[in-house]
Amino acid sequence: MAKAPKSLTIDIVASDGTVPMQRLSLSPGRYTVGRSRDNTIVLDAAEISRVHLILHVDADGIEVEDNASTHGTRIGDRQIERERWSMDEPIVLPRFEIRAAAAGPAAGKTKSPGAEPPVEKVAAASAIEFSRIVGIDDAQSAERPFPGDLFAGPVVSTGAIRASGCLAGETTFAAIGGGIGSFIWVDHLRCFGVPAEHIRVVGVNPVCYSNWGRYCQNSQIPPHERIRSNAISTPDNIWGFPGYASRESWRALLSGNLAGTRPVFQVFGEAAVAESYTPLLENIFSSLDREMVRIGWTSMLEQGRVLGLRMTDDGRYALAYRRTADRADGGRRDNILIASYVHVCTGYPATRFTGDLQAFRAAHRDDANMVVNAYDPHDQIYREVQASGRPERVMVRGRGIVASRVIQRLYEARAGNPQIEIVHQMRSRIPDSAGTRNGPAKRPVFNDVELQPFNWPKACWGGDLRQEIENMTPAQRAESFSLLGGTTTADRTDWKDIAINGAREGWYIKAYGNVDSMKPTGASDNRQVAITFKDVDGQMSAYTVDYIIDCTGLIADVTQSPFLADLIDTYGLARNPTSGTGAENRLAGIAVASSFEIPGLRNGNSRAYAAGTITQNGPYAAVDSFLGLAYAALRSVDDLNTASAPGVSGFGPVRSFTQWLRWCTGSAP
Amino acid sequence: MTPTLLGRWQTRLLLFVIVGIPVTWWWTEVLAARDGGRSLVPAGIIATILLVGLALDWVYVQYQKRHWDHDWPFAYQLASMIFEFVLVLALIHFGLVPWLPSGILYFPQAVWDATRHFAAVLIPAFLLLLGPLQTFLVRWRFKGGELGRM
Ligand SMILES: Cc1cc2nc3c(=O)[nH]c(=O)nc-3n(C[C@H](O)[C@H](O)[C@H](O)COP(=O)(O)OP(=O)(O)OC[C@H]3O[C@@H](n4cnc5c(N)ncnc54)[C@H](O)[C@@H]3O)c2cc1C
Repeated sequence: MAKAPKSLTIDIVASDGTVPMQRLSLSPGRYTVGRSRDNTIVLDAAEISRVHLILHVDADGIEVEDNASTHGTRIGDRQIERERWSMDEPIVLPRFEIRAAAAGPAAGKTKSPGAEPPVEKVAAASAIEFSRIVGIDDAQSAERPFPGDLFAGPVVSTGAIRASGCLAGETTFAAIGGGIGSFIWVDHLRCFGVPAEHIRVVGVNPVCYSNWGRYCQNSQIPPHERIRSNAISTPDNIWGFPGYASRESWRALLSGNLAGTRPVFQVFGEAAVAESYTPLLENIFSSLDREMVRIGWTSMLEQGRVLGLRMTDDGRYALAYRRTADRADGGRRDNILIASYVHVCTGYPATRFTGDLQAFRAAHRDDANMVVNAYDPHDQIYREVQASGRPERVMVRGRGIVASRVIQRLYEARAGNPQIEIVHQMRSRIPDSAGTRNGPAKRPVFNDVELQPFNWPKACWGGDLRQEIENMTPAQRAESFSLLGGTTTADRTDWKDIAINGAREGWYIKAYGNVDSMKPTGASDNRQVAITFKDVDGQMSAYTVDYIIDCTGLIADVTQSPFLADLIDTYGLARNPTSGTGAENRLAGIAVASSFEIPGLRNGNSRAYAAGTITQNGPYAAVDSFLGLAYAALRSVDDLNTASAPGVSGFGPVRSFTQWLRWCTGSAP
Repeated sequence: MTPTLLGRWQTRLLLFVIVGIPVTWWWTEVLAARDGGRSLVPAGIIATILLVGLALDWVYVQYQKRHWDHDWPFAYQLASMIFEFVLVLALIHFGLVPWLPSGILYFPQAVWDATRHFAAVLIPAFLLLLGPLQTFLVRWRFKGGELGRM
């Protein structure tokens, strides 16, 4: 079973030398390169930014993304933002170059002693640390990166900002992130009465669903698949009406397709008498496209990465950001925007590997491509196992919705290669009777997985559970989240059939326990991973597999984002308690009030709010969902009305309805 | 829907005011034109359904809590509305509603009238719950059916 895309090999070379200091083989995944110790590849020189650039490696090659670095990243002599690297020209950084590996062994002149770190050490680290590469004389050139000294203290004077020459403008409302959460917040502001000219959005991506769409694509949800959301989770419509089910049925009816009206009946009966309805990914995209145009999203968007946020001495906020290269006017990339009201919604800081897989990847670099994270690009695995025409065994780790989807994708690949076997690995068994209990209710279990239509019990969004959680103390909430928030998947007949038929026919096998040992085996054209597990009773089991797909999650650790880490440090922002254990561990988000205001950032009459996964474990459970983001937006925009923020109406029934009519006709708010 | 007890009560009262009362008034006029003389029976029936419903809401909420999601599907909503109507007719029939003598239902025509009246209330009320109510009350769905600000 030859691994089709052989991992790519690169050399790190000092700018003034030709001998590679380090040779690395990169398998598909995400690699950060920078000065700080927690990068995948550490380049120790003062001119290198903390996280200077990111290498996205997939089956097709390497994509290079400059992480708003001070001195920039070039390919050849072109300054780049994010682009594919043909590997013909070197990636040029201050003092270093990254090149496609030259033939022959690396000379290893300054190969660092930490190049083969012991497995235990790496497992504890937050990233796969391959090596630490030390620059030649890094005593010199201690130039501070933007915004540098200007943002050294917690309060910055507007005079100093003006003097710096970086002031890009002043606005009333600023949204940081530019993803779906920012979009929903801005959509609310617009409907509540704020004109587009008073809103600025700073985000990395040009389209609000770029980031989310990428996650969906990687985790094997193609545009024609259904996502895990209900009909009234409408990020393009603040009222939740008409929902996606009615729209889908309506379109079907108009085209004379009576069977296509099933969604409305599904919604009518869900989840008691019918399988829960979920919308099509492509319908979410197209509805957002339409709403982006309606509210003037592009006119409000500044494409760039926010580096820091500070209170100003006149009771507002200053936001330092670096424009993406192609958007920089007159060459100035470093900018400061001053705003009275700020909304922070930056999404997941990182994808994660569970410790054991991370250790394996670090210790066996040449074989690292056998282990992938389901949220990173890994399409080549499905293509490869489908085309090989030989027995292929893929281990899927985790029992959440992504694991279900990945298993479905492997099942589809079986149509091309019936010799594919799926080993589904979970930490422990869950007997059907052992579903989580909450009062008289019990969560159903099928095939060792708890079932739930969405990622929280439905009443967490707008029912009694929402109220109860809001009224709890932080400690009580953490307890409640451990109970309600475990990993679940959706109750889908097709997924159940895969497990039932696969188990009967022998191509779907379940493995339980924690990894006991893991090592590569086999000849070079047929590499495999030998893996053993120890379950809770000490029972051992052993498997040899061709690939491992880790579906256990995305990191919601806010300190992984340099921007948030700095914000938390500077203002000593309170954090929520953590909850859960193992793969279900929910990390502590930034503590927010019920209005989603960040209390530690109040500055005179100005306010800062947060939303999304960065507020995890706070007053609201379902923060990381469209409907949860709509809730957060509503709470914060209502709060802005209370604070008499300019242009924000009370949004009573009459205004609400007239705005809804405008939505229906596609007129600007 | 995931209504709370308070949310159920407030929504019920709201629908009574915006749908129940106007439709009942209109229906009373329709009957008056037909029979000569206004009858208080439609108003009595709809008010009784309201009272019975307010009491049943407590039962429904207990039932919701038995399900993991604390959910109340639209199908249940429709079924419960019809159930309340049938229950009130039965209560009247057995003389258990002090202000509505069981005699008012002795004639098939009376049952048919009551049914048509109820349908005229039920259909718009249920349709409003399917979503249109949210276009006026944007916070309603997050408050388990309660009215007002967050
Ligand atoms: C595979 C998958 C499927 C999902 N399916 C569903 C679903 O079906 N239904 C549902 O409701 N939810 C779903 N979710 C949850 C979903 O992620 C959220 O609902 C939503 O996308 C979160 O929006 P967000 O704005 O918080 O994050 P994002 O949409 O990811 O946006 C955050 C943005 O902030 C940008 N950013 C980060 N740091 C900075 C910075 N310093 N400066 C500027 N910009 C920055 C990022 O580049 C990104 O574009 C899914 C999640 C995943 C991973």
